[in-house]
Order: sequence, then structure tokens, then C-alpha cells
Amino acid sequence: MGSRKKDLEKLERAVKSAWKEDPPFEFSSGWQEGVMRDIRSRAAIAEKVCLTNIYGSPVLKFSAIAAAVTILLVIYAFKSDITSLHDLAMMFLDDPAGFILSPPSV
Amino acid sequence: MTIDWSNKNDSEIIEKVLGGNTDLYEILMTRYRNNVMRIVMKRVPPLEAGDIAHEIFVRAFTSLARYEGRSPFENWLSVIAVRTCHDYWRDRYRSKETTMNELSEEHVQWIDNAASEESDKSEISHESRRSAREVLAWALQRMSPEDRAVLELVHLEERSVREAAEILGWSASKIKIRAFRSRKKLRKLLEDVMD
Repeated sequence: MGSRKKDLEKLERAVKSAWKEDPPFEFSSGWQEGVMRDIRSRAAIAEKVCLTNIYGSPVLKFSAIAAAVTILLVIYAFKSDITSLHDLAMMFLDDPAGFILSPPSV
Repeated sequence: MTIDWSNKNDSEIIEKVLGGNTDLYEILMTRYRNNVMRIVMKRVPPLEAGDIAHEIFVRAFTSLARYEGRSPFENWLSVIAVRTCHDYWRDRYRSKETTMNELSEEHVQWIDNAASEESDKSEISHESRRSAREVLAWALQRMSPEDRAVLELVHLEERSVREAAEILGWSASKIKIRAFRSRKKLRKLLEDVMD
């Protein structure tokens, strides 16, 4: 029984020693280039996905709408009578006599 | 003036790679591909080693942003390598693709010789190394991927339970149980062939 245990231990040591040895290996030609090609294409896809995410985000959609509304308001302001806008401002500031806001020089 | 990046340390290169200079990753590959291959060659069939090493470098690249620099890059990469090899066996085990090689007469002969070796030397002769590796591969094929991974780290590489737990991302108690169970299994397999 004792000898069998010893034999098994020897066998285990032999197997362990074989594991510790580095098995011979060689990289196939173009292996590294292949990995780098894969990595570059993944990096490109990741970048693309990242940009799509930014443009598809609700914040960006909202900002596009806000920009469009601002442009329309500017156009409207230019087309409408500047004097009436001034009057409106005076009403808001509770300054009907025009002490705070001087009348526009037309 | 162009910068010679091959002289720069890992953290500087990693920073540049994360900043979008993907090509610099090749320097890290050149530095560590042999280490990775040494891990892989011991753990997966030789014909699969190139593909697995490829996958390891891709995985490392895609998780590079998670590298915190607390341990050397080489160690971090080794953990990915061990886990990728473990995943390889898990996939094979799940899809029941594992082909069980049988032992040849030559292997049985080697087992008899190794067990009855007069001198109690731990080194084995050059001729029998291949047989020893094949016998070990035969035994490992008959284990679950979990037992296999723990046996490799704790018993064959003599790493501590804590180290193995960190590498595999498991609890120390799980490693302890697996280490005991897998070693018992290896002994049983070798014992059966000795009969």
C-alpha cells in the first residue's frame, strides 16, 4: 500500500514537472498582423458606434429642435416691427413713459 | 521628430492606445506575446493555441479602459489569458465537443516507468516529456473545466489559494474545495492506469 502511494506520488511529480516545461511553440507567419487587423477594425466599429450613440441621444435631438426654434424666432423678430417689440418691453418693465428704456432712434 | 514608442513603459503606451492610437497596441503585443503563448500552450490543444492567443489580445484591447494599473500590465494580461483558456474549455464542455483521447501503449509504458523510477528525481528525461504532457492532457480532459482550471493553478503551478481566487475571480473557499476535489480526481485517474 505504502509503495503504491509512493509510486503515485512519483507519477504526480513527473506530470507536474512536465507541466512546468514550456512546450515548444512558434507563431504562424502573419499572426500578429492578423490580430492587429482585427483590433483596428474593432476600434473603428467602436468609434462609429460611439458617434451614432451621441447623435441618437435625446439630448442631441432636443438641442436640434431648440436650435431650429431659435432660428425661427430670430427670423420672426427681424420681420416684425421693432417698435412694437420695444413697446412690449416697456410694458413688461412697467415703464409706459419710457424713463428706463429710451425710444428707439428711428 | 518622431517618438520611439518601443522604449516607453506600458502605462504610457496604454494611455496613448486609449487616446485612439490603436497601432501602438502592437508594441504591447510584441512585448508579451511569448508570455501569453506560454500560458496558452499549456492549457489548450496546440492547434487551437494561435486562435486563443488572438482572442486574448483582442479581449485585452477591448477591456483596456478597465485596466487600473494596480498590478503590472503583464499580470493583468495573464489573468485574461487564464480566463480565456478556461472559457475555451467551458464552451467545449457545454457543447460536448470534447474528444476524449485514449492512452496508447507508449503512454501506459511511460506511466509504469515514471512510477517505478528508482531515483526520486523530479526532473524527467527529455524523451518522456512529451508522453508526460500527453498523459496529463488525457487526465485533464476527464475533468470539469472548473476542476481543471484550479488543478492547473494550485496543484501544477503551485500558486496559493488566494492567488488562484484572484486569477479566476472566485471565492477562496470555492478554490479550496475544487483544489481538493481535482487533485483527488487526478490521483484516481493515474491510479487506475497504474492497475
